[in-house]
Order: sequence, then structure tokens, then C-alpha cells
Amino acid sequence: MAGAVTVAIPVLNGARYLDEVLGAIRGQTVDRELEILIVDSGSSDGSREIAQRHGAHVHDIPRSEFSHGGTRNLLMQLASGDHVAFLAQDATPVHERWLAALLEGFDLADDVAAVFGPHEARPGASHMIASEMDRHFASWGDGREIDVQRLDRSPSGIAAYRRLPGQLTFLSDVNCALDRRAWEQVPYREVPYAEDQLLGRELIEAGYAKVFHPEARVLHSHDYPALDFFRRYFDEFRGLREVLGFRQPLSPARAARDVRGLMGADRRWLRARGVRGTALVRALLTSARHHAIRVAGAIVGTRADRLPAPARRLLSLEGRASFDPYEVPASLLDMDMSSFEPDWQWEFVRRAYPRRPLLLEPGPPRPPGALTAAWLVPVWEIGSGGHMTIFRLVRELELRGHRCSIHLFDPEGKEDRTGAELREEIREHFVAIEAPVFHSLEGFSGADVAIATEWRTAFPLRDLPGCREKVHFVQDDEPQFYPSSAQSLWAEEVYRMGYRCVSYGPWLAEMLRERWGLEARWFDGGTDLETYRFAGEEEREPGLVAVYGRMETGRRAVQLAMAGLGTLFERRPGVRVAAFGTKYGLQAPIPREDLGVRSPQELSALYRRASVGIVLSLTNHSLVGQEMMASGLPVVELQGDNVAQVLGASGDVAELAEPTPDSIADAVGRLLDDRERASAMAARARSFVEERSWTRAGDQLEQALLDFLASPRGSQDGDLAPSSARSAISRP
Amino acid sequence: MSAEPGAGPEERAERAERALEEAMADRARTWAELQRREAALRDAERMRRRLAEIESSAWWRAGLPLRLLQKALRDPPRALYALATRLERLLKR
Repeated sequence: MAGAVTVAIPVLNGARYLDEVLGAIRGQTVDRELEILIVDSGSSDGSREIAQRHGAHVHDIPRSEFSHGGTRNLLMQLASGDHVAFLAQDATPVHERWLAALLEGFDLADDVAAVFGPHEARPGASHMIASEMDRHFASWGDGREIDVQRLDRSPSGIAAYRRLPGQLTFLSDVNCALDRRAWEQVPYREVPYAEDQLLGRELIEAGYAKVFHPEARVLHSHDYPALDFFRRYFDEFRGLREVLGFRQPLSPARAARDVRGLMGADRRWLRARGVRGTALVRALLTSARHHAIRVAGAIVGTRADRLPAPARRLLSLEGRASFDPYEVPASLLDMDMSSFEPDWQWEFVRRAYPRRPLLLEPGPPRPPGALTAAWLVPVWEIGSGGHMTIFRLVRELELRGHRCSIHLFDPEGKEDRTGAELREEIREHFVAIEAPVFHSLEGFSGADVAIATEWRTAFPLRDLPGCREKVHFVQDDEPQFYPSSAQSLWAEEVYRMGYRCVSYGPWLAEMLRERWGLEARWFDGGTDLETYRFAGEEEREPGLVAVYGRMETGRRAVQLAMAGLGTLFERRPGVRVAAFGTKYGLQAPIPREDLGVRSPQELSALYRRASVGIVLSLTNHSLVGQEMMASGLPVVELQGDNVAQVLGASGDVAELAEPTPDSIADAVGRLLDDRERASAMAARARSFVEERSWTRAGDQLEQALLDFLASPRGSQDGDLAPSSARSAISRP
Repeated sequence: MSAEPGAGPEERAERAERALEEAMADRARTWAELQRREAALRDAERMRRRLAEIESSAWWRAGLPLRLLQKALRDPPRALYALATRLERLLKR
């Protein structure tokens, strides 16, 4: 048998209902010892005798010692039960299972500190009170289901709590039960009013759970004359301001709306009970007066601090003159949250820990044939080269009979358009894809293969359901985009997630295999040969150098290119520079033409006109270089494995320079001086890019995806660390 | 699968492979159709939310008299009819 239970009631002249209340308590069916405990603060109406007749333990205190919080603490101290149910002296349990229902709430979880039940209006109570009680207690479990409340301490949970604290903090000791161990940690505070609301708030913020049990019902309601109602609401709302900091908005429009809303609720309640016609109109007029008084009481009560003490005493039904705000230490409701961001853009990373395996659902072996692919893409800007590559390859898969969907991942909440609007933009400014576009990952339903196209998208994709295979589409070594930072660590973390990779170019694939032990295939970036048409030497302006000056992208080493051009400019007259690719102003030690961001057609015209092009790549090589090559423009790139693995030795299809200003100036100078050699290299470069069509890139990607699907990996359990033992496929 | 007269094992295997390929293509088409529908539903839900936000804003409510006036000026008989219907409904309540 479980420990004893105590029913505790503070009493002062409660004879009107006390006999009924105690009779109902004695009639309770519970499987444990029941103690009835009364603290009487000087009754003169025979309450004490009624209590003794029902076998209650009665403890007397002087009226001056009574306080709502302090007296209930005393009751807790005197009680012998592990659980103590509190009732008001005029709250009658509706049936014999009331106490059992309260106790059942504690069995739901170990952290339940309090259980409360609904109040029903006593027969004869006004319709406003009855309707309000029904509505109020329907806030939890629709008033019919058990409802467990806990504070969700996630950013969105905290934001919801601050928006609507009462949903979690509400606790009424007219009808509730407390767990002794929880009370020992979080006792009642010695506050003059709303001690139960404060206790509810402190319990919730301390990490305890609270339970609403619809079967723990009591009859309890008060009806007063209009003026007393105002004073009662003054007391209630002063209490809410003192312990919760709640302030009723002082706005006539808002007050009118509130009254209208409450009247509407009363009208529905009355109509549901068959009240019609003039009876309904009369009842609603009473409602209007009552709710206007309520709102007025709320406005004045929550501003009681602005009133002089004698006015407070006059307005208070209990005759209290004080205003004693109570501050819960370090409360989430009181903290300065001006810099709190519930929609923090990196929340998706935080939630991705602790590390866990990639969620895959390989299913039975998949027959060959058309596949379905879901692409997760970050927010784009018109002109984004990375997105152009993604959408081109989406289209290439579609042209091969595969089906795709595109899902935007936008943790910063930048994008407000619908999926259909986004799709139109892709079709107009990038590629005419068929795939539908989803504005978010909400409702993601899976595909044969899901593809993360940027490191951030790999975080949510890891846990998304319904995918046979998950692939990281790697266009560059993204950790290198950042200085040592959280972002560089997180971008690197993606390599530990166990994705199979398809990379742009062999250098990246080799790096993924060798450094991270990943299974990596690659594709060669194609070039739009229709836009970037070949031009021979005769169309070119001698001495004109076109330089890719995208300042926004550090890995393009624009300052190094400018330093090289500065040196070149000093060395020789007749050099003219046209820089392009940046939205921001360039700073460089040379006179030049800054063209900014230009359309592919304008760039093509520039590439056909210039004599030398400069594109520098510190990580993966740029597609801009290939577009210059397609246009017959001799290109200067940086020497290094990242470039040489694709473009070969210096002079094959591009002139490769050491990363110094002098070496860059030398390389440009060589191409300007020896036009015959430059032209021959440009012709080889054109053949090189002709081989690398988007059709070929599409074939390479398709083959990689089909191969991945044909060789499912099975369980990923524990396979989180990079493993050099994983197979390294050395084909594209 | 029942044997077909006159068809050798290779031919039957080829036909089966073609059928399988068609089935896979059909499966992908169905998936794409579902995705399109789902995307449209999500967009509709998003638009509904946006509309509700607009209609609950103070600016929208403040513009109600102007909108009513605009309607009345555009089509006075219809506006009168709508007003009468509304009054009638109110009285019936």
C-alpha cells in the first residue's frame, strides 16, 4: 500500500459548505490511509466543530498569522501524507473518485509535483461564471483528457512559455494535490495572494511536471454583486501582477475586443443550452456588464502599484492595501530577453548532437530504372554559380527520366516566397527544371536518394526519413571557406556523418577519400558552349586583361590577382584591366574598369574581346575559368594540386602561376607577349572544355547515384568516424 | 510468369526487364506527381497563414471602412443587397 494521503483545508468561517465538503472527502475511495487536516484561523460560525465532527485534525492559528502561502506551508508541515490534496473550504468533490484521480496524476511520471482538477460552477451560478470555468479548464486536454505540462527549455519552448505563461504555470489550490518531496524543494512563498500561481510557476521553472486530471472535479464558484466582482477581480489581477508580472493592456480597443470575445463565448455557451430569443439578449446584456467589470478590474488590478495604499484597500474585496511584487530568482519570465533569439540560425546544428548515424532505409533491393531524388539546397541569389550547377544537374537527371524534388533549407528565415514562386525563379534565371520546389523541409517524405548540396543542408538531411541513400554533393572543400571558427568545425563535421559523396572534380574526390576515408565519386563541371562561343586572336584587344574579381569569395584570392596586375602594370605600358564578378567596389593599385556582376552574355562578349583572363582558385578550380577557355581566352590560374589535377601542367590548357604577384605578372606577361603560344593553348583549352559538357556531368552523376543505390550500405551503426578502410572508388 | 509460346528465354527476360523498367518509370512519375501535389498543398497552407496574418493586422482592420466604401461605389446595388442580407441574418438570430 502506498503512503498516506492528507486532505488539507485552511478554514475561516466556512460553515456554509464545510459539512458538505468534509462529507464528500470522507466518502472518497482511495487505497491508502486518509487524513483530514484543518487549519482554522479563528472561525466563529461553528466551522471548528463541524471539522471535529468529521474526524479532522484541527490546528488553530490566530487570524493575524494567516497568509495564503504561509498557512499552506504549515498544513504541509503538519500533514502526515506523502501527497497532500488542498481544497478550499467551499470546494466540494463531485464524486468519490476525486482524490484517486488526483493521486493517479502522480503515477504518470516521477517528476510530477502537482496535480490539479477542474472547477464546476455550483448550481445557480451565473452563466458567465459557468461558461468561464468550462472554457478555462478546457485549456488542458480539452477539459476531457489528462494533460501533463512541462517547460520545454528549447528556444521555441521558452518563447512559447513567455508568450503564454499561464498555460504552464496555472495551479489552483482550491483543488490540487502536491508531492511532498517537490514541496520540500519548492515550498509556497509567503505572498499575500496568488500563492498557487507562484507555486505553479516555480515548480514548472524548477523542472517539475504538473498534471491536469479532468476527473478530479470539484464544485466551486463565487457570485458577487457587480461592485464586489470588480473588487474581486482587482484582487485577482493584482495578485497576478505581483507573482507573474502580468499586465492587462490599457487599450480601449483591446478592452472592447476582449468584452466582445467573452460575450461571444457566453452566447455560444448559452445557445448550446437552448437559450434563445429575449432570454438570450437579457443574458448577454448581463454578460456585457460582467465582462466590462472584469476587464476594468484587470486593468486597475495589474496597475495597483500606481495607486496609493488607501485606494488599494478600498478597491480590494479582502481589504488588502499592499502591493508586494515577488521576483522569482532567475525566472525565465523576468529575465531580460531582448537579445534572446528563439529562431537562432544555428539551432539546427545544436540539435544535431550528440553524433548519430545517418538515417537510411535501404529496403529490399531496388530494381534498375528511373530513380527519385530529393535535393536539399540553401537559399540562393540570382547568378549563384553553385546553384546553377545544382539546377543544371537536376535537369540532367530529369532528361534521363529520373524525377527530382527541391527542398529549400533556410535556417535564417530569409526566404518568404512560396515553393511555386521559387520554382518560377529557378526556371527563369537558372534552368527550366520540372521538379517541384518546397519552401522548407516540413513534410519531407523521402526519395530513393536525398542529396545535401551544401554543408548546412547535410545536418538536417542526416535525420530525415524515407531515403534509401543519402549523398553529399560537394562542390568545394567548404571548411576552408571559413577562418578557424564554429562554422569551419561544423562544415568539417559533415565529413564525419558518413555520407557518400559526389564531388565537383577529381581533386576534391581524392581529398575526401584520403583525408576523410569517404566513398567519393566525381563529375566534371560542364560549360555552356552556346553562350561561351570561341573567338580567335583577330577579335581580341591587345593588352586587355579580364580578371575575376569576386571579392565576396575569399578563395578567389582577388587581392593577390590585383597585386599581380599592379606589378604587371608597373612593368609594361599598354595593359588595361577589366574586373568583374563583385557587387562591391574593388580596391587595387591599378586603373581599371569595374564591371560588377554581369550576365553570361556580357561576360561572353568580354571573354571574346580580352587577351588574357585571370581566375585564381585556392581550393577547387572555378567554372569561370572553363567559360573563359570555351571563349578562346588564354587563362592564368594558380599552380597547385587543386588546379593541376584538372588542368594539367602549366601551358597545357592554362598558364599556371605561383601565388606571388611577380609570378602572376610573369604569367600574364608571357601570354601577352607570345600570342602564338597563347592561341595554341586557347585552342587546346577549347577542346578540353568541349569534352566536359553538362551532358557528361549528368552521366557521371547519374552513374554515381545508380551505383550507390545498387550497393546499399546496410546498417551504419557506429560508423561515424572517418575510416580509411572504406572502399575508395577511383573512377569518376 | 506464364511461359509464352515461341518466345525464348532471352526474349522473355528482355520483356520482363522492359516491363520492370516501365514499372520503375511509372513509380517515379507517381512519386513526382505526389511531390507536386504536396508542394502545392504546402504552398496553399503557407498562403492561408500569410492571409490570416494580414487580415488580423491592425492596418487591415483599419482599412475596413475604406474597403466597404470602395465596394459600395463599385457596385451599389450589390452592396445594398449584401447589407440587407446581413441585417436579415442578424435579426433572425
